[in-house]
Amino acid sequence: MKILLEKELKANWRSFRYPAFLLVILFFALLDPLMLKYMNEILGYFATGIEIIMPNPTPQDAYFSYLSDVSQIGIFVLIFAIMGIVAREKETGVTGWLLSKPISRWQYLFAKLIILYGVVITGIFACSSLAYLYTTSLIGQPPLAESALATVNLVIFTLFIATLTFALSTVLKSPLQAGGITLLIFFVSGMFNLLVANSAAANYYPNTLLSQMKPLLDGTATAADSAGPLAASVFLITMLVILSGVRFSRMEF
Amino acid sequence: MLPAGEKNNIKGYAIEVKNLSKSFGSQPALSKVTFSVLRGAVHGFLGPNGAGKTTAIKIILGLIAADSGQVRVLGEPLSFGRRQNYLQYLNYLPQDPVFPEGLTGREALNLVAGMYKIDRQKSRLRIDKLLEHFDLQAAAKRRVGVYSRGMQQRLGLAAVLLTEPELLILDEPVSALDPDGRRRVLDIINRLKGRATVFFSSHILADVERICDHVTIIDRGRKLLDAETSDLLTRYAMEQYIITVRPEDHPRAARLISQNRHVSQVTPHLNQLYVVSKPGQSLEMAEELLCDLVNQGIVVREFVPNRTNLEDAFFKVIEEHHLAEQTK
Repeated sequence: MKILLEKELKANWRSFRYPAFLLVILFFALLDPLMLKYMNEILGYFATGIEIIMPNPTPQDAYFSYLSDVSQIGIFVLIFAIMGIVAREKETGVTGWLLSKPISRWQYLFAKLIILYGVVITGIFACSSLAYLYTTSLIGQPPLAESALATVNLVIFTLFIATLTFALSTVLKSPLQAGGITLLIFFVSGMFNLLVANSAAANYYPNTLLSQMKPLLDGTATAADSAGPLAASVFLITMLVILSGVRFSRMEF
Repeated sequence: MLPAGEKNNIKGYAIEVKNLSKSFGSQPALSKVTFSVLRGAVHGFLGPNGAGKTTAIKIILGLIAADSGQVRVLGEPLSFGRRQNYLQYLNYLPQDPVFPEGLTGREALNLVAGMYKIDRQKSRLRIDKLLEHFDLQAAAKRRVGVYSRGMQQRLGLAAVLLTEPELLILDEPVSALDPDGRRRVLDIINRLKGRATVFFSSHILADVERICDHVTIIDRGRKLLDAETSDLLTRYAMEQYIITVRPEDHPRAARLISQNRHVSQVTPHLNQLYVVSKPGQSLEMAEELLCDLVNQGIVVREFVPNRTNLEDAFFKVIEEHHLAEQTK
């Protein structure tokens, strides 16, 4: 298993897929607090002759801006980075070659998942810590516990989308199919979120994790408000892994 | 060196395939194919493109499911979708070797060693030796993606030999190699005889003839022939004779030979006559012709079976099969 983890990390690191995702979220961690801090000056530079007065940004605004960018552009980049995580190797014949060796099909999949989850969790928490510290030094300290809870919501939702991409990449033939369908689901689920926002379904809808981030930071929502969508997301993640694994174990290469 | 199978206490045939069938949609790929591969043998698996060779190999490896039939590898029955213990003792080289992207040649070999749980120190020494043997030391730190096809095939062979498997399944292992590389690989396979089993598909029939003890020929998903290489060559050699007579006797001899009931074809060539018997009647033909010619006072200077090669035999087997199908 260790050797497969090593292979997975090297392959995705050297192909610049995981670094691309990490660089994008690092970019937002460094840029967003800075942008908010100097928003008045930036607008003033572009809009000469007009006086624009923006309210001073709060630390919560700056940190939320970072979380929000990662939940959109960061996830978008992640889908592109991992859409071929299994499909590409199936296409090139690497999967068949590896499975002709004494490793099980589940080991093959779990090695990929462990590295994927490791990169997503470590990457988001590391960059979020950086964004938090940067916000603190530039604007002021966001509430620690609430920021951590909002970050957990982002991590779980990102893991849900990552697992969806992984599952589609496992069961479909091409990376483009997997990426395309995940993107479609990502956008449609975002729009559908507006419809379910005020219904009971919101309590179990994964996208609610994202809509709860701002209220959590502002103190208008508690951890209990995110418990339902969090549990539903973890359930969906588990089901996606099991179903794609079962399908994969009967696939021909 | 221990004989094949002894090291790991493997009994019976290396591969046993019984009534194996597989279709892709309505297209049959294999139809009730049966053959066995003896432990310690170098077994050639031949057939034209699309004959079903790769499908059969992939079923043996557990990569695709058979529709029906039984497969046993190194004594263990195959069950699709389950982890097969025999994979620990088997190594496979695909026709176009592929390696995970981003890995260097040495890392690819380390990956293989790791999957087979070879001791790290032992594998390092073996990898160095194999890289040197296959002229890949200079490229060992380069990514496999930039290797030429020949280099990838050499690396693939190094990966197969690294694990010292009981059973090597090689799908066209020398197709991308230059003559020297081919010779070296065939020498290695030859040296493995008795110590490991090699199941070897190739379209370079001269190579198969040179190293294989046994051949199985399939075409359009059906097994046509399963025989010792020497028996196969003898059988087809016996069907063509070269007869040399004095030039003045040539027309008379040709007429006499063509009248024989066992003869299917007579072709004059320089001072010789190439005589082909009807299938399976070569011995009778030889006996009768020799007597007839001598009785007619024709001086026979040479009467020998024409040495055939595997390529001729292969095409004859395929041709016979097609004729048999047409007459059905």
